[in-house]
Amino acid sequence: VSAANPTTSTSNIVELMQIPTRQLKDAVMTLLTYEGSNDMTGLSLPD
Amino acid sequence: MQNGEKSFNLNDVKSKAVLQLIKQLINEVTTITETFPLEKGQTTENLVQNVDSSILRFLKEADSAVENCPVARNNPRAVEKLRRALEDVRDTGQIMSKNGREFIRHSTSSPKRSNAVEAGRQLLNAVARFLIIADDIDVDVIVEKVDKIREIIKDLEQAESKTEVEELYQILVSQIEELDVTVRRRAIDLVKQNQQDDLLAARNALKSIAPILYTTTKTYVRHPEQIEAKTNRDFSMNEMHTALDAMENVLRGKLDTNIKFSEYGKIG
Repeated sequence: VSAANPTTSTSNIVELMQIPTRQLKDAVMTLLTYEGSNDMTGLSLPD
Repeated sequence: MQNGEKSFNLNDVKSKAVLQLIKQLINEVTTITETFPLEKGQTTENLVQNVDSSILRFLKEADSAVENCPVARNNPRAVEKLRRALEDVRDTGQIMSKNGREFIRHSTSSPKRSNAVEAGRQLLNAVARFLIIADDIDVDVIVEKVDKIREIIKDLEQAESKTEVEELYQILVSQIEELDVTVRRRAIDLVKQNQQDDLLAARNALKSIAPILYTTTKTYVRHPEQIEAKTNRDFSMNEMHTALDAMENVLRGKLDTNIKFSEYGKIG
């Protein structure tokens, strides 16, 4: 279901946001559970 | 709790769908016990980029959902609340992005990791608050339907002819049917069993009393001089309002409803 085309008469915001919420949570958790490394290769330089 | 952090009580969350989502958001970020190496082909830069793109996707989808929300047309205050909640997601997302980058540049630093975890917690809390507000908006949409029925009952009270009563009753029935679909769906999603029962009891009461309201109103229109006719009509109107008030109270999470499932005699 596209966010632009809700199919019922309720706002359905919660329903529409379930997938983006899970994707965001997963991305955050993947970053936060990174075990870390001393190897600095592959990192972009700070601005 | 940090300065400025807004909190919420999980006990106040009415919807199962929202509660499940929020529990995932909050529990996982507050109970990190394991860490993992990069997967094959993955870079540390990817980790932060994924967070950035997920935040952007969330904000874009949320903006679109709010824009297309039916409440937006006549409840600008509700929309404003949603927009403010999204601003919090945007702001905490920027801090997450910044702290996340610092963490991967110094990934063995405990303070940097701790800052990133705290930023993640703030971001996911902001997302949870947005979902709770969005759920309240869903309730507003249903309560608007309840209000429409209240208006029709008011019109019925003013009706002066049998034809007028019949026409208004047809509208009432179709509005009750429309409300019924959303109420049943909402009842299934309610976290608390007693609220489920009370909402369904109010729904049953509404459907049971409607034909009585029709008959008593028609009788009253035909015999306005008879005190019994007025008493009966007023009684059925009052019962309809009681059912609607009970419905709104349950939907809004209030406890004081006049119709309880345990009062089985009342709904027949």
